[in-house]
Amino acid sequence: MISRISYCEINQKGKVVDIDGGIGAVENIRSMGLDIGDEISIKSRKNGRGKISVLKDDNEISLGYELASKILLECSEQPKVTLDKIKVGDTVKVTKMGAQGDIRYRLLDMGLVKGVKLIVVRVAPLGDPIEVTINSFHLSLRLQEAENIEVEIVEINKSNGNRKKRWGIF
Amino acid sequence: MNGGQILVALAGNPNSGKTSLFNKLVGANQKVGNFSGVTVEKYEGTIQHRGFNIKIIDLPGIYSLTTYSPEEVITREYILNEQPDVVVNVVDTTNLERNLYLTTQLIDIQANLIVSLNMYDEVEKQKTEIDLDQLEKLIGTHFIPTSATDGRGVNDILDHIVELYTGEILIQKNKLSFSASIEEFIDRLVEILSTDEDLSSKYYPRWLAIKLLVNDKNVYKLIKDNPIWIKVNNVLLEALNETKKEHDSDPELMLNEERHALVRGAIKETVKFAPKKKKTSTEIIDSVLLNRITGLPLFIFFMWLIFHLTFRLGETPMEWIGHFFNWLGIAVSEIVTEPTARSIIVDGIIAGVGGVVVFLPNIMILFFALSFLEGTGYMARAAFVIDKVMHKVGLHGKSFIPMITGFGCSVPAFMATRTLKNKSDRITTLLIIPFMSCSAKFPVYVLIAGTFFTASEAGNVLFGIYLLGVLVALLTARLLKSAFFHGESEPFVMELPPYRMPSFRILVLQMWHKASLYLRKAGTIILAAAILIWIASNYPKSDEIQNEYEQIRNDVTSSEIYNEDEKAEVLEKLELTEAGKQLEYSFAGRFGKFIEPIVAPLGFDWKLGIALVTGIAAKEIVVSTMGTLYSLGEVDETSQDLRNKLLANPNYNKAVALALMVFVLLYIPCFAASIVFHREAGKWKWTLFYAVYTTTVAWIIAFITYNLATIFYF
Repeated sequence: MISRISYCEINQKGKVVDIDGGIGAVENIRSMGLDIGDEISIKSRKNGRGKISVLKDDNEISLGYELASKILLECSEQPKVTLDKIKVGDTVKVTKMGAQGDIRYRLLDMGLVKGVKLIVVRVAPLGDPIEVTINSFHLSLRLQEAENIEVEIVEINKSNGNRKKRWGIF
Repeated sequence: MNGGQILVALAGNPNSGKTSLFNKLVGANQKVGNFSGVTVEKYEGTIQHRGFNIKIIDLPGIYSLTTYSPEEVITREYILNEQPDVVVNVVDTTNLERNLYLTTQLIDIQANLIVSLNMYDEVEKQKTEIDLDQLEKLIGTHFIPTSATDGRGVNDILDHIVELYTGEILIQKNKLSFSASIEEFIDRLVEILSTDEDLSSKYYPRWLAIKLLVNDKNVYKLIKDNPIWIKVNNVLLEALNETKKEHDSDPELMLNEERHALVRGAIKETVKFAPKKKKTSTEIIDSVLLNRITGLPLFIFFMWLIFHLTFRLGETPMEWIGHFFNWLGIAVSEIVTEPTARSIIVDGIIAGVGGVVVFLPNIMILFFALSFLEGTGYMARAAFVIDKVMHKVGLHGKSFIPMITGFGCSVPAFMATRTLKNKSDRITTLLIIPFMSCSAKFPVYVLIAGTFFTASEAGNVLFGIYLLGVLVALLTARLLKSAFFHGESEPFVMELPPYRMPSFRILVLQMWHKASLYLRKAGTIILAAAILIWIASNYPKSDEIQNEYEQIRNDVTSSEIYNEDEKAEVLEKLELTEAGKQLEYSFAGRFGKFIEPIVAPLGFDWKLGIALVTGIAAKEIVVSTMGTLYSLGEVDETSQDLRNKLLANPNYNKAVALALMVFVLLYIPCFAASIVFHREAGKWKWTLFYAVYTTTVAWIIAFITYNLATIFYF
């Protein structure tokens, strides 16, 4: 099961299998002492898009959220993750609709029910809301609203092929 | 041959092409109004077909038949209460999954339903194949491919409506079956509900049962006081417990999931999707318009463009309107010679009508632009881009456009709040728009800042004033959200529809509808108010003053000290002084003097008091009132005479100037705007709050400004 460090829960263990980023990111991660093949575990993580600390041979390495999301792990079990944490490009499946109140009905009416597949398409220029594709249409929702939707990873979209492109605008 | 009248309702998702189809069906035979009690627009039109008079109502676009937005409630109540002969469900065929979800709910409510598979041409272009016969078998109603682009299916729909009405065709009213465990509870509820004959003759029991299981507030209310409630409640509780125990879910969630599953299943069986293109044109456009780097600058550019078009392009026709009414006034004055009648017609009525019509160019251009943004699909994107900022003060991304429009004029800005569906968002946005300094206040700033400050200072002062307005607006939004609306705000669960080119005809129609709504609903009251204000500033007239000046005039005319030129000059001055005195004597003048003690702490004298009172008619009048009070006749903000007079008044200084500008910025907008506000807010309570709040805030901040500036400057 391939996942990103940013999706993992505390104490989850895994093996670094790939780095999903440009040459800069790869160098950056290597300089911190992490490399493909390393066995690591998650020590602690701040709420939301905060810093994540991982343990490698008892050494603690602190990673920014963006960087952590670029490191792909081979994990034994599927991490429990919420929609707001999903990186652009990845495909997920809804496992639980935890939203309450008004938002719940809106989400249900839009087809955000258990079992439905979503692709995170983009994040708004200011960082919130996000856009997802669901049943062939595009839906936007705030991170705050996405927080209550539990999902499992279906497919990690590696932008590996685009490594040469430093400006991934389009 | 006259077959009678058939009532038809169009229902469907937003962006399903419902409006285009409506226009294709009825052509120009349509009118717009409001659904009673709410500010949701109601379009209706009629068409003759095979001897029948078909009346078509375009219901607001909705995703579901729950009761979480006014649009949903309206649609539901309309179908339940008006019982249209036929409901045409307009479906976006390129997006069947989401659209058919509503269809299943329309089936539940037992509407006389046919489905228009709209945008069918797009589906054909994509080479997607749909097995219509099978779809009809599975869902259980008639599906008619239509397209507003090539006009196909329009006649089929009309034929169907007529044939359904006359009974030539019958649509078997299917019911959608849910899983056994849910069906069991539905059956038990239906059994209880059917015992009440009154209820079950009015509503379809199965629908009531389903709605009870999904916690529908309105249906709860309907049954709560009924004797059967205890039995109903027992079944509901049991359903809740059992679904929790057996499925770790609740009936509501289960019904919802099953509904989606039903639709998904039907689509899987009947639709053969063409292989997906690598990137759709919408995705390509979005990769630029919503791009992390270019998204925000482009958004700002579009907003600037709308603002510029509305107010710059609007300027020229507004001038024409001004010239026309001036010309009309002059023309009428030549015919009507009796002074009082002339004054009523020219200064009261003609000027009043001119004051209503003058907003039309702004309104028409703005709503043409907004309909264009809405029709292309960019409106939702604009909200997407700016939502983070607006959410910080508790508002929705869609509040942004009305807010910036407020910098031009509050009238169209208030009207633009209709794009906001959530009531608390709308009221809050309506209440902060007055603080966005409108363009009519600009002449006042130019006069005051230009008089009391040097050119370089004046620029900073103006900037500060505009900034203060925005700050007060944002603080107000926060305050209102936490005080009245408990921080609730509209969820940002919003579709980003595919980009489409809206039809020019529809844009023009919508623009015209807005203009006519404004003229009919607000225009008449604005006109009445303008005439009242005119009366207040012209009456009562003092005979004493008139006689006194008549006397002086006679003295001057008969005197021998002046030559003819000097006499004319003196007489003109006398006329102006008299006008000033008469204004002082009028109701408006008395009111200005009456409030002098209230505005005195701000450093204002009674003259400013009067000017501010007349400013409620229109902000630019503040300047011309001061001209009259200083016996200068017609002046504008650049008048050097008026500036000299103001500088010569020992009561005025920089502190008073600042306080005055702050007060003009923040106090109650003009009458026209206030009336439009009332129309949009809908309740007297809010209009009263708006009047009191703006003026109180203006007073407090002007007071602080005056005192701080006094300390600073002296």
